[in-house]
Amino acid sequence: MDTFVQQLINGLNIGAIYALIALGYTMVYGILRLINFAHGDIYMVGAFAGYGLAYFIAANLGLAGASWGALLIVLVGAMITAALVGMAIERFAYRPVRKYSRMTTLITAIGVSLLIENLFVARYGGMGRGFPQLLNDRTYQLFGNAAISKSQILIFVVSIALMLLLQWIIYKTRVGTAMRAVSFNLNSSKLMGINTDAIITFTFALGSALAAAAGVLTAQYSPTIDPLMGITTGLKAFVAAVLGGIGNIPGAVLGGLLIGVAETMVVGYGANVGIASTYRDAVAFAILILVLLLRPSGLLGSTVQEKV
Amino acid sequence: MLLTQNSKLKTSFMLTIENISVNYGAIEALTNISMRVEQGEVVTLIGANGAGKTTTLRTITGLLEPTEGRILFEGKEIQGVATHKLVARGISMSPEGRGVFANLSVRENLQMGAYLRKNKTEIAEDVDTIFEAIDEIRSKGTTILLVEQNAHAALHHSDRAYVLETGKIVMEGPSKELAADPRIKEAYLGE
Repeated sequence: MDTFVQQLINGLNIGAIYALIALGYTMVYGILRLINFAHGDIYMVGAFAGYGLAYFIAANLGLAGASWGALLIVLVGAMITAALVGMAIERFAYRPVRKYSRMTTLITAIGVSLLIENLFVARYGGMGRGFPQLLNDRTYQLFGNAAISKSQILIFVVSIALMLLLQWIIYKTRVGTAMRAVSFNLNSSKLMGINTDAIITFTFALGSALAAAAGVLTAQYSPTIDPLMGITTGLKAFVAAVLGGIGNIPGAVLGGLLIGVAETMVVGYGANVGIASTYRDAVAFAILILVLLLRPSGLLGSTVQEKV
Repeated sequence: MLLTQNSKLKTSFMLTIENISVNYGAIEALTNISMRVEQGEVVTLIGANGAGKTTTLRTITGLLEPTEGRILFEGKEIQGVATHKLVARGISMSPEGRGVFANLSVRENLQMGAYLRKNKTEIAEDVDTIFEAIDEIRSKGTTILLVEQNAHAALHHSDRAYVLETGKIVMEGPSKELAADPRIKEAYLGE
């Protein structure tokens, strides 16, 4: 029972990270029908931006060591940086090829991903580096032997807050309503006077900011970052988006949490049924194959019927 | 398509199309078309399916770009100008197939129609007056069967009403009486 609770906490925690990243995949797909394969790298860019900022404020503002102020500056700064990078990618890589076939944009996305990864390897080297700890991490004992760390609580609190904020933007604001309109019908949206290019750019900014938050939060929990950290995590988040139903926002969150829990359950119980814990990374992709076979539209994905 | 005069400069030619050609890849959809619409006129463009009516409209609204020729609106060239900017300048078109955003509520659809308007109070007022259109249509002698979820507004703008519940008619009668009925008030009017 203790193991179960512990693995559930760990699974939901890592799942929250996948969910934050999956939201970016699903929003961009919803609006452009594009799988943005560079999105996992934005998660990495966010972590590196946070790393740079942490050293910058330590040197220039005297905010060295763990403090809530430093954490807030690093988190928000990384989100803004990643949003700008995401907007630039959309503007200079995807927009010029948008008028061509979807295969062209897909290959462009793969190209952008490789470009970012290799630029970072060239600049920072392929070795992992320690992310400065901005949180006095400690562990809280729950009932039994289950425990939760401060950095895990931080992941829960920040990801839930960001998801609620996203929900508000998408369903309650003018720009959010326009995002939903553009995702349903691009040309009709243009005829309503919506600047669809601006809405698309905004969507990339939002998704990238969420991925960067995931990057900084992960770096508090497991503080090693490297230029290729976005590949596996990004792919798993992509699987999460497909599992939930790509294009569906609650689906991305559900998919992320499920993938996270499935992964930690394999670590916790896999040995009992002959699956080594080293298979944790394979779980997501096994799930992907199952989803594509059994329910290609995903758990919450469905086609909208036009009413008369 | 509605053309709204925006510039103070009076031009007699609201819209002028000069020798435009439009291609879809290798296929030429419009060949050297010219036409004009003068201030205050109603001009119609007729043609069979596939003749190029939609292509013409999509080109004027900026959804397509002509390979040759010019389009002038109030004397200024507009080919290549983004659609949303043209809407702001006074060219509006109801999209083919009505272009309803099926993933948005009716209210949100109406709000998207008012996307470029800034005054929030006025937009809210106009959205709420949508039911007055029913009274207006009736005053012209048209008979209406109004199927609606908004019970309050529907009962207010109709003579007689039927209430449908899980596939059965559960009540019927004059709208005024139904609006005053305690069961209706509780279940549909939230009182």
